[in-house]
Amino acid sequence: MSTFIWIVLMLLTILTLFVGETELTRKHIILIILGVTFFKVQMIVDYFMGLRKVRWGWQVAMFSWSFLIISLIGFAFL
Amino acid sequence: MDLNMNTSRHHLPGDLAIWIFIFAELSVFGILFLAFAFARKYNLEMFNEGQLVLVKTYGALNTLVLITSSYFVVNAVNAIKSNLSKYCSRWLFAALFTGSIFIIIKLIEYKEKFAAGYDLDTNVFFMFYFILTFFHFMHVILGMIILTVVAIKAHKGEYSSQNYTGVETGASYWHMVDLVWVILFPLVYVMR
Repeated sequence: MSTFIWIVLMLLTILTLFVGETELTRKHIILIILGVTFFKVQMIVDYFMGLRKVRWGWQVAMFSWSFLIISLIGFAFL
Repeated sequence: MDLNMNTSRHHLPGDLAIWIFIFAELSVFGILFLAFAFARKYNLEMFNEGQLVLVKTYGALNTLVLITSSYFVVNAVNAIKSNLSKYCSRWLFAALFTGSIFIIIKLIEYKEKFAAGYDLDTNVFFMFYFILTFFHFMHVILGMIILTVVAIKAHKGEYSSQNYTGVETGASYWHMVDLVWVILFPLVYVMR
């Protein structure tokens, strides 16, 4: 499973690089990049850090941090 | 005590203290990220021009390197859970090798920026660029010191499938270093 997650994270990183160079509107580029970043953070938290198996409080704390920070970054950029 | 913690399905990986430290670190990085994002909002032209100077490929390569390093650390934790301390040690040294690549790429990047005349005093964008990336750089160094200690102990057979809290503690810190860069890369290098 961790190998699959690693490959997905690598591909999403390359996607992030290329989305920034596309002709999409700035708003769409930022939304896609922030969405991909949020997903990558959750993958790292759940599968690399192994928090998907711990008590929900820790998962909520980590989810809240990433959701808050990435949402506010989006607010500042859009 | 360790045995009970490690065999429970719901145990927190590693020592509780490292998680308090991780959340403290994430709070500081979160504030720095937001400071960058909102400073950009009021200095849009300066930030967009400054970003053009950065080499996105370096940032992307370093993201790939840190993700791979984190993956090696996951394999190290899985190895020690199977009581394979030598494999655990090898995976950790592989993670240290990839961590070293990150350091080299970052130093090349800094050297190019300084040679081109960019530093902390250039403007607000470069102040944030150097503070954010160097603060993260110091965490990579600390993470590598922690992983080195854990790798040596694993090599000496000081961990086992019954006692691997130390490996998980070092791993958790290293994943935090990776996680922070996963946000830093698009924020500083890509989004405009």
